Amino acid sequence: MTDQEILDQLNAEANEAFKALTIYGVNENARKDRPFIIVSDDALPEIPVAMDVSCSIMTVAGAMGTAGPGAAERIDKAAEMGVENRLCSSVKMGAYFLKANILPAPDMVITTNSPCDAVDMLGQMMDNYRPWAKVPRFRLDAPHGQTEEDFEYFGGQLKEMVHAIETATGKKLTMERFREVAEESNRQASLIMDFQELTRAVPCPVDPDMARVGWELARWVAATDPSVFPRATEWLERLVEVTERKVREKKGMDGVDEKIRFLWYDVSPSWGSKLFPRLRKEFGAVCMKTYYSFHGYFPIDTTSLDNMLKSVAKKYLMGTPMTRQAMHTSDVFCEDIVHICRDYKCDAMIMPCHVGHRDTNAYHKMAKDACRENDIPFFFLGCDVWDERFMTADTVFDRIKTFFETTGLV
Amino acid sequence: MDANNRSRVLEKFKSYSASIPNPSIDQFKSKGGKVMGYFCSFIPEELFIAAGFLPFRIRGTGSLGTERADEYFTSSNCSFPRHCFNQALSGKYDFLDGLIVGTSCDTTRYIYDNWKKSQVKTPFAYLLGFPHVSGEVMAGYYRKELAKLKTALEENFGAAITDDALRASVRLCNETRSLQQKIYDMRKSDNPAVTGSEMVSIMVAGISMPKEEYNRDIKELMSDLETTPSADKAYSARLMIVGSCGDDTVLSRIAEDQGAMVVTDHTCFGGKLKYGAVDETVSDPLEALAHYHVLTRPFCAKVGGAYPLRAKVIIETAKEFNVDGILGQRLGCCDTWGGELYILKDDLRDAGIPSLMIEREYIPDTEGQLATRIQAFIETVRR
Repeated sequence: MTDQEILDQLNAEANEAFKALTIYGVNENARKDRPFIIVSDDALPEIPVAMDVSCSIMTVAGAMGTAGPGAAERIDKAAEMGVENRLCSSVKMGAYFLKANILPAPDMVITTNSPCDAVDMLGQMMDNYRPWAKVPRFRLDAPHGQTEEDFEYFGGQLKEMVHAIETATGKKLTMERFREVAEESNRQASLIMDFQELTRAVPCPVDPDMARVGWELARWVAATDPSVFPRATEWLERLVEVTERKVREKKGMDGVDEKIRFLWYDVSPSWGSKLFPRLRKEFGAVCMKTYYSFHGYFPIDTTSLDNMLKSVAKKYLMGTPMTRQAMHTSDVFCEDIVHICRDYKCDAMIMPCHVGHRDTNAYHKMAKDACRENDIPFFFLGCDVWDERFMTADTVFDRIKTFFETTGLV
Repeated sequence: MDANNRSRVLEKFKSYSASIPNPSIDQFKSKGGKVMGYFCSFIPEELFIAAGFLPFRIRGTGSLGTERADEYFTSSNCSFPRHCFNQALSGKYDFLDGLIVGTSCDTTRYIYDNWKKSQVKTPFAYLLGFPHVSGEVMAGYYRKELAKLKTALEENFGAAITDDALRASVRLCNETRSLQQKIYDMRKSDNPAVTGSEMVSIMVAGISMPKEEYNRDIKELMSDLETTPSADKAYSARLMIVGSCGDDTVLSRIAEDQGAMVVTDHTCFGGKLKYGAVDETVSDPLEALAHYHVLTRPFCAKVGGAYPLRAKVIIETAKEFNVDGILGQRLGCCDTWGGELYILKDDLRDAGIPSLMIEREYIPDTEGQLATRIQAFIETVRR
């Protein structure tokens, strides 16, 4: 197989696996022969995988729904329900799923206030969803701080959450299995770091978005089906292997004459397939990072149960995309921008400022100032990453084109 | 005494609530006192009073636009913090010696970052962690956060905040809550002592001036209200306002202009402030404050797991005050209250309480439209 054929195969496998994250996948997960939990946000997969329970994520199902057939109509129906009109469309979709009563009753509901007001609100809607009135529930309080005390506080809650899952599902968390899963998780995180390092090469050997694909496979899909967890490691190994080879051979992405590297610092849009390939083709402009393709290394300390839970907490609070960007002060966001642009040799920073992200809409000036201080051309967009009707992919393309032209990048 | 102008105090409260600076702040500052600004009702004023500061709750009063704040926030952010910040950028909060922002909603939280990095020169700014779940563990977390804030205040201002001073400020603020509750109770009658618009002024004044002075004033006001008959105003419906903010009289004024009477509320600047009391018998006053805000009064809609309590209090209040309907208000782009009111609507319907949920901006550009909707609602619930 050629390198490109291997990459195509990795993509195809991931796309097939991602079906488990859709509303249809959620219903499939409920039918499997293991306890089924619905969570409002990221599933901290080490815990459900180690406990052999299936976890579906409401906001992810919502986000996947925004790219599916009839998405616009469903988003509009959610708006008509009376929730905030300019609410993030992925959350609107989740709210619609509740209203339309098309979700299976889980064995347990876990909600959290992170990463943003919208997901927090969806969690409260889930907590108070009448058809699930008798379903056991647990709510996590993710702190906004970044101290050891904060990680201990959240880790303590994870311990309580494990007890609650044990009570609700009858499944037990054994230290041996948890450690095994944590070590596998560390291995995956290390592979993602390796991949990221390799993509610093000029020209970029592989679409850097594959870091997102691998991360979502190892975390979100694995949370729905623990058997995916080791397969995700193997998937990442193949990705690193092909990327290493391409770097050695100084090969760039197939069919891309790389001229510009830019940072799109927000979620990758559901309509991204209409934008990013076109930017690559017409300007040789490669998107080097988005929220979900940028990862730090937060290994899990496997020396004791408390240390494992505390480090899972730290990994969640500091390393989970969206939580990292939306839960902390703007310093984290601004420092990340500068580091990414420097480390990945980005020529420009595009701030999509998703309409539903109250956080980025509140600190775009600080991001702009940070870029200006570091001579990074900055472009503020203002779009809806889940609903192209707000600003079409063509309009976004035209605006970015003008930005590239005025900054002399093309 | 003119029934429409029953009290000197009421006029003073109206004046204080209608502007940001006021003579009491000037007087406090002229004696060398320091003023501590803060956002959100879960930040305990007791801590600032114990340090010898005058707490001042930040609001957008008097703002006519967000031109300056628009450089920092977009129209996808709620208009309340934008107007507040615009006032800060316009120099209206230059009298502050410090600012405390809590980790409440996303937009308010980022005021902290913007304030610190803008040209607003407030000497001290602090971000206070507040839990978003109601529970014992979370109360413990908040107690630690309050202790950190206490240390920061002591270190930055050289102010010793003793337990005795904290206990004294808890007693003072409990007295305020109790007095405010009595005024609210006076609105249960068929002929409420004050209108909804007046009540907003009474409550907003309470977070804009020294508590001792406020308590003295409110006692005088109560005396006036008890001895002077109210206007015996005819009204078509008794309403309650539920929702975010509420530092202005927009909604109550519109409703009362349409012939209704707002007899109670559950808003962040109103009725939520006077709920219950901080336990004065607990030996650790910080623990008592943390328990009050996280377990007794988790009324911020961001606090998960506490919705059933919030709904219960709203429904019980509506029944106690014999309301004919509830006006739910939220500002545009407020995800938190968008969800809260959505959930609440069903519970109100089950409780047999009609409701109208309204989205508005801090300065409504469609007041006529709001009036039409409220008028129609009043018609459906009128007595």
